[in-house]
Amino acid sequence: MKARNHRIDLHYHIIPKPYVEALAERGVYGSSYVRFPDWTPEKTLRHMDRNRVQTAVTSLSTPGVWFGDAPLARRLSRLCNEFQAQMIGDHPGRFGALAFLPLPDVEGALTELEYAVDGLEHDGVVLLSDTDGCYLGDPEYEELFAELDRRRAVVFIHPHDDPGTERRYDLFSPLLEWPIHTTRAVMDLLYSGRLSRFPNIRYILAHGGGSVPYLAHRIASGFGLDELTRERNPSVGGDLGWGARPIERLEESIGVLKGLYYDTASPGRAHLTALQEFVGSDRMVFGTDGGWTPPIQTAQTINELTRYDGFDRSQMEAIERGNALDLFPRLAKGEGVSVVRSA
Amino acid sequence: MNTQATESNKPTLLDVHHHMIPPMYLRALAEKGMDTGGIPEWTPEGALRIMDRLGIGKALLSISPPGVWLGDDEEARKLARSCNEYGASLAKEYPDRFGVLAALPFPDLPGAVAEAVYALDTLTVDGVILFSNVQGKYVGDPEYDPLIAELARRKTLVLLHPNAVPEDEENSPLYPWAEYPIDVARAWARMILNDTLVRYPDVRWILGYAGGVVPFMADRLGRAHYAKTNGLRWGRIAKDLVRRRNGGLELAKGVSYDTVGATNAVTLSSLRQVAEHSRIRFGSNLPWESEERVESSIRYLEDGLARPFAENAEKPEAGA
Repeated sequence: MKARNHRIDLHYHIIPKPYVEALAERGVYGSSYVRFPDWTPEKTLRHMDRNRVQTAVTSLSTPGVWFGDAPLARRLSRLCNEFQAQMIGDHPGRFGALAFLPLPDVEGALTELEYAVDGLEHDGVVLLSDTDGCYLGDPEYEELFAELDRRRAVVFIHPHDDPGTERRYDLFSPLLEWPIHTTRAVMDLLYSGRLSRFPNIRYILAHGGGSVPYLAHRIASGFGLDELTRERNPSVGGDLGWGARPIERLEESIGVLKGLYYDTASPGRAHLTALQEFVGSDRMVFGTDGGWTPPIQTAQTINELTRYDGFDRSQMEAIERGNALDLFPRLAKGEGVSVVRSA
Repeated sequence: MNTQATESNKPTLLDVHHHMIPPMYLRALAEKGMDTGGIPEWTPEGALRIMDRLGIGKALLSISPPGVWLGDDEEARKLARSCNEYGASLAKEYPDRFGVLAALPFPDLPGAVAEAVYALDTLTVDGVILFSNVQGKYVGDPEYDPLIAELARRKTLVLLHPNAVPEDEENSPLYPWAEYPIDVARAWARMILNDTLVRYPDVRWILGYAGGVVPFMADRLGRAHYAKTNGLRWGRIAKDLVRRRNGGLELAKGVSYDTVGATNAVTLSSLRQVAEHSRIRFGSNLPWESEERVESSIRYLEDGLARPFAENAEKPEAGA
C-alpha cells in the first residue's frame, strides 16, 4: 500500500511564469547567483508526492519584488499572492500560502497584508531578511510589525541577496552570505527590541536559522554592544564597550531566540544537533527549500533528517507535521484529500 | 611529548588562543590612533598569574586583530619582526609556560612569507596566527598560495582567527561584534573553493572561535566549489553538488577547532558532530575574555567532557 503523504513543508518556493517574465523585462533572470529554474505547480505537486508532503506552504523567494519601483513591487506582490491563492483553490489540501509584501514600501505592505490575509486567506507572510539595505529591525517598519502582532501572524524570514551583487564575494553567496543575512535580520529584530515588543508574532527562520543557533550565545551576549543597538533600542542602558556586556540580558535574549521556529532546510547532522540542543523538536519545522532547490537535494535534506537518530517517533512527527498544524490550524482540515476553507 | 606537569593539582591545559599585547605593539597602535576599544592590560607576569589560577599550563601567545599590518607594508614587516622576537624571548624565558604563534604582515605576501620562514626556522616558534581577512584579502585567496605552501612544507600549526571586514565592504556586518566569528567561515569557503585544504594537507589548521560557523554549516559550505562559475543552472549541477557535499564535511573533519565561544551546549554539541575529541583544542581568548568567564568556560568543558584537554596539551611538533 502506498504510504500516505504526511509531511507539511513550510519552506517551498513558487516561481510563477508571469513573475519571471515581468522580471526579464527588467533584465533580472534569477537571484544573484542562480537563474530561475523552470517551475510549475504541477512539477511542485509531483515533487511533493515524492517527498511525502501532503501540504506545502509556499512563498516567493529572493530576488523578491523590489527593484526601486514601488508600483511594480505592489503589482508583483499582488500577482504572486493571487497566484498562490489560485494554487490553493486548484489543489484543495495541497497548499498553504505566505504572502509577499512590497517592502520597503510600508504603506504598500500594509495594504497587501490586508488583501492577502483577509481577502485571499493567506496563512501568514514571508519577509526577506533585508530589502534595499533595510533589515527587519528598521524603525520604518514599526507600523507593519504592530499590525502583524495584532493579527498574531506567522512570519517566515527568508534571506535576500540583492541582484547585481554576483561579484561581491567572488563566492557562491547562497552558501554563506544568505544564511548570514537571516542571522542579521534576527539580530536586528532582537537588538531593536522588536522581538520582545511584539510577542504575538510567530517567526519561522529559513535554513535552520541561518547561523543563529550556533552563534546564539554570541548573539545574545552582543546585545547592547553596538551604537546601532542603542539607536534602535532606547531601553539599552550602560556604557558601550567590551566590558559592558549586560549579562542579565543574556538569558533573556537566549530565551527570546529559543521561542522562534527553525526549519530543517539546511542539510547536516551538525545542524540538526545544534537545533535539537537549542530549541528541541517542538520548535523545529519541516522545510525543504523546494522550488529553487532541485529534487535531488531536497531528497538529501530529508534523508539527513530521517536518518538522524536523536528524535523519537513523536518528536519526528511534531517536526514533520504537528508543529506546522499548531502554527496553521487551517491545514489540519486538509487531513483527508480536500480542504474546507473557512468563511 | 607532553611537557606539562602530570600531577593532578598542577596546570595541564594548553591554551592555543591566548593573545599577547607587547609594549611595541601597543605603541604602534597608539601612533595610528588605534589604541581605542578597551584594549585590556597585559603583561607576561600577569598572564602567568591568571594561568596559574585557571590551571593553564602553557599558552601559545599571538597578536590579536587588527594585527601588525596597519597600513604600510614596511612598517608591518618591522612590527611583525619585533613582536615575534618579543614572543620568542618570552618562550625562551618560560619554555614550559609560553609558546608563540607568529604574527605575519599579511596581506603583504613577500613580507608574510619572509616572516613565516624567519619565525618558524630561526625563532622556532610553535606556529603562526592568520586572520581570516586583512583589508579584504582572505586566507584561501589563490594569490596567497605561496604562503600556504611554505606553511605546509613546515607542517605549521596555524590558528585561523577572525577579523573584522573592512569598513568599505559593501556587505559590512550590521552588528560587527556579533558577526565577527562568521568571517572564519568566509576564509574557509575560499579555502574550499581554492582547493587549499586538498593541495596543502600538511598545514595543521586550528579554526578559531570554534570555526565561526564552519561546523554548523560544513555540509552547506562544501558546495563552495560552485563559486567558480556564474549564472548557474541548478539542474545541471545538482548531482555533482550532492556528490561533493560529503567532501565538505570531510574537509571540516580534517581540521581542529578551538573552544572560544563554544562553551555552551548548542555550539559544543554541534561542533562535536564534526570534530572528534582530539581535534577540539582549548582556547581562552585571554586577555580579551575576562578571567571569570574563562574560568566558567573551563568548568563547563571539564563538566561536559571529563577533562579531555589535558590529553591535547602536548606541545605541537616543532617546525621544520
